[in-house]
Amino acid sequence: MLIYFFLITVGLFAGLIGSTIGIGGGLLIVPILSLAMKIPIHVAIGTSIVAVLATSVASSRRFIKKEVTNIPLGMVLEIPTTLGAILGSLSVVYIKSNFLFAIFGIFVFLAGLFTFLKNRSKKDSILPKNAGVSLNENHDTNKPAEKAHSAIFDSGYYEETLKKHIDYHVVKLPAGLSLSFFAGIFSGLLGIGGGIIKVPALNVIMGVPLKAATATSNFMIGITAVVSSIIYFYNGYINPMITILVAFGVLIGSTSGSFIAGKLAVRNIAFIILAAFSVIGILMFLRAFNILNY
Amino acid sequence: MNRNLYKILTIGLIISLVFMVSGFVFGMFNNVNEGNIIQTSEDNINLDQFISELKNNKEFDPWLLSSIGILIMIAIPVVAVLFALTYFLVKKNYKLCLISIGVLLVLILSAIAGFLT
Repeated sequence: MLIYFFLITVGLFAGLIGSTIGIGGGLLIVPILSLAMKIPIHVAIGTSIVAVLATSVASSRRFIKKEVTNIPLGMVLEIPTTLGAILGSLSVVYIKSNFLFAIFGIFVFLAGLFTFLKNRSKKDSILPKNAGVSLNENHDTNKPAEKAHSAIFDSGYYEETLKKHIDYHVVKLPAGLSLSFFAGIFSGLLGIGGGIIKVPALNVIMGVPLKAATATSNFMIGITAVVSSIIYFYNGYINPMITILVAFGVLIGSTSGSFIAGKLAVRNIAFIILAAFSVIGILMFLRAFNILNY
Repeated sequence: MNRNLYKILTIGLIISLVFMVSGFVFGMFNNVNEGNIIQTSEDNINLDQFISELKNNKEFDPWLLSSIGILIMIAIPVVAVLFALTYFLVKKNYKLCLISIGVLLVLILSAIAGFLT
């Protein structure tokens, strides 16, 4: 009975922390399951990807209902992302556990550093600062926005906080496609959603407002996770018991986390995030070289 | 489109959770050996095993029920892409149709890749 409770708690903790600091739960589920519970890392990754899929399905519903998600853009970016995810997931089948621990260790450390830097200088702006600015913002100036790639990906949504409709141009599509491919590789390889790459790519590079970028990324994560889940399922890396309990915890945790996120100044805990991710990264790395082989 | 997509995701999520939770609850009553949970290699399920158990299993297996729940969860985004494809086709937006077909093809490719490994 204790094991059930522990697995749900792992999911709850990962979902809560992940959604509070905006990195998703996958980056925490794999280290906890593989290091603390000694679950084989391949199975931990399989569990994580299904949990990520469940969270994506649950959370993308809200954005889709409010018409914030840019579905055409998400679909086109999903082509390279899913191809990357196939490559990443297939690599897992052939990669030894030690190597996976090492890759995960480096990725967790870099993710911690990125989250730290992002949150330390965080300014709560809704609109992107680069070329793909809102059409509304652009109406009154003679300065044209950077050439939009294609009108079919331009979109808009109603921003409740500003009480106005925001339209935006999508720019630098090739750069977005390339980054999506890498996000897919990491998603398939490490069992994470890849939002840590997708959201900045959409927001900073492609000029999609942060809210729409988050919503589109959320929608994409579900489709990407399907690819990895199919491959993990085929190869027997999904344990129904572990997966259900962790996914359940993540669903509850991420829902609660999204409420906390709005109230908590993440900037203030940036150092704790960096420290925690550094420790996880180091532990994963030590495990990779069998130094931490308890 | 968004409203229907929302309904698809919600209904899929509910069905999937019902299967997963039922499997888990029945599994608990069937006294699953907790010690085996961490020694996962024997408890993991792959697709071939899943299909053969589905065909041959005369007795009620709670974990099979949970696995069906997981498979439904995996299928939800696929249904969403299929719905988007149909919507774009009806709206005669052929560019987006092609993009949706591209996504579906990659999803099929992943199933083939998984099968070949």
